[in-house]
Amino acid sequence: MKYSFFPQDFKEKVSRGELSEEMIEEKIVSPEGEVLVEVDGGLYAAAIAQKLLNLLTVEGKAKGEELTDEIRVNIAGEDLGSLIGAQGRTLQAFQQVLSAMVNRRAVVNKRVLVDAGGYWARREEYLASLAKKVAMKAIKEKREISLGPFSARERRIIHLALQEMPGVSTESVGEEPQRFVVVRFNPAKK
Amino acid sequence: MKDLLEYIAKALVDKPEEVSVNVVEGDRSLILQLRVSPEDVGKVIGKQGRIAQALRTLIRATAVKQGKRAIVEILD
Repeated sequence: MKYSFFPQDFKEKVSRGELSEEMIEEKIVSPEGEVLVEVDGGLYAAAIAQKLLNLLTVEGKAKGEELTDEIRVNIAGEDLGSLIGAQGRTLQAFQQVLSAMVNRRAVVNKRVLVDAGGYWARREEYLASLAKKVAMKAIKEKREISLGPFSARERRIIHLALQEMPGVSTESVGEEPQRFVVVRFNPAKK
Repeated sequence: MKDLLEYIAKALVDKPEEVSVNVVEGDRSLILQLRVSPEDVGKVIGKQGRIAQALRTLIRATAVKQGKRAIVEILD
């Protein structure tokens, strides 16, 4: 992943340990003096996430992984309840802030997804199984059923869970934060 | 909490040297005044105020640990 920094910015990132020699695969200084570096997005995101955790006084360890179209950050720790918050709202805020910080200097933005203590892993399992149950019902009763309201990430899990399922199609409707997923009987979908 | 807000804001703006946070502390409440360069206000607020909202959520979550209510004000 390529990031472009102002020289001062770059120096600060290095002094805070968000960027280190080991992380940087390639470094070029442009004629305008900007520093262009090739960095593993996972390592970079994890370093910023770790700094945020320390400032939030949350005891946890952040690890990151860069995939083709997204960066995943996983936070492990004993007591992550305060980081997750009610309905995962604090974790979503953490993700939003981290994503803005990581993508700020990115040449191409990537979605940043954060999980803590397996919260999203459990949520995904629950939502996918709920989606399948509701889809069976929609098919059986030949009607549409709406689910939610859900956040963008939750809706995405539901859409993906039913993407390959014949007989139902899905659609998000409504305005945030009242956005629902409609699971619709659709005999034409194979 | 001041350090947290300052750290995040500096990473989002073009002029980190113009970021400052002033804290007004009461018994049960905390007001954090974040000041950034006028050109950088949009960057700490975000599209549809999403970044500002997320900042407030994070700050509130830390303040609760100290039994306080926190308010974040963004000034230019």
